[in-house]
Amino acid sequence: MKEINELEEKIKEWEKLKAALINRMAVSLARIASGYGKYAEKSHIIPYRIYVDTNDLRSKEVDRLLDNQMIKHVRWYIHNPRSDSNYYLLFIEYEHYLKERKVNEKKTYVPIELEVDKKNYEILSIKTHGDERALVLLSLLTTLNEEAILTKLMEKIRDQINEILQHIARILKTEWREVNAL
Amino acid sequence: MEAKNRRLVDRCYKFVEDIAKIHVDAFNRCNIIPSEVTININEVDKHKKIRSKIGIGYMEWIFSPYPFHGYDCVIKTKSDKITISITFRPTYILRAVSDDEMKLKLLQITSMLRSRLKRVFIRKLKEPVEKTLQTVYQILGDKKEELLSDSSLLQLGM
Repeated sequence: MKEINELEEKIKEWEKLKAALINRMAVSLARIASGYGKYAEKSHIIPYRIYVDTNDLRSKEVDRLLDNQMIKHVRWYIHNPRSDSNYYLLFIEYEHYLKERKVNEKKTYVPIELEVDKKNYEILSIKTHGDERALVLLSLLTTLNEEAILTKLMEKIRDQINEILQHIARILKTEWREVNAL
Repeated sequence: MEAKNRRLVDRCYKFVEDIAKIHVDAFNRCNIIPSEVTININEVDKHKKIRSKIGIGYMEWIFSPYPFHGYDCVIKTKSDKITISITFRPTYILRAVSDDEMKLKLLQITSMLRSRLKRVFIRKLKEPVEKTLQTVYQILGDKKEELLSDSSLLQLGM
């Protein structure tokens, strides 16, 4: 039957696109996680968990995409990998709303477990447990904004380190004055 | 007469079973596929030929898989309803609110329209997949080819 064949073709096309997008997202996330992990493993100053928000990206393309899908914001969370594990736990949170009523509908979490070889940051496995439609949309967002997410992540790490260094400098300066006064 | 009715019921069961196979398979592979499909009689009997023959004004079919058990096809008129349930054991169950005469009428129409119903049903499964594909391709733009041709990425285990 012609109709069944057409449906089968469309489903196959969808499966292929979904696999390609999720795999591409895994590569992006591994890059993002490794960018974070390299620093997180070296210093306790780096927070245990860090996130990048779509508000941080400030891109018209992202805004339009979110608006079309009635999504308020997307947030990529990256957990500091435990020293005895290869796992990076990532989850993506998004909030969508009913545009007509301008009210928040609900927050949804799409958890993604990424096993990455820490030596060369190769992806060993990826497990996704999210709603398929959300997953594809988020894969798309991650894939298209990989550079921007990574840049923002590095900025956040740098700001965090700067803040702590300035704090230490302030303490030392006060103490130095106290020492000089003696 | 009884044998004729039995054949009618069997034909309807076979039809729902065919639909169930298509729906459950598609739904398991791709959850963009709607979990419930409703077909209105106007979509399969535009010129009211079948309806006027049997004497029913309005009718609709609701097809839906229910988790772990099987598949339901609810056939409804404004005041009556019958359900053809296919369980995956497989056992067929026909639950009816209607009296026997009405039940037979609903099954008769279903039987007469089954190939049109199947065509419309498949179209309703296909449409949301096509629409989503289109949206994603539009967003990807010229990155689409690069993404789909990168076969090395598809080697990852999931």
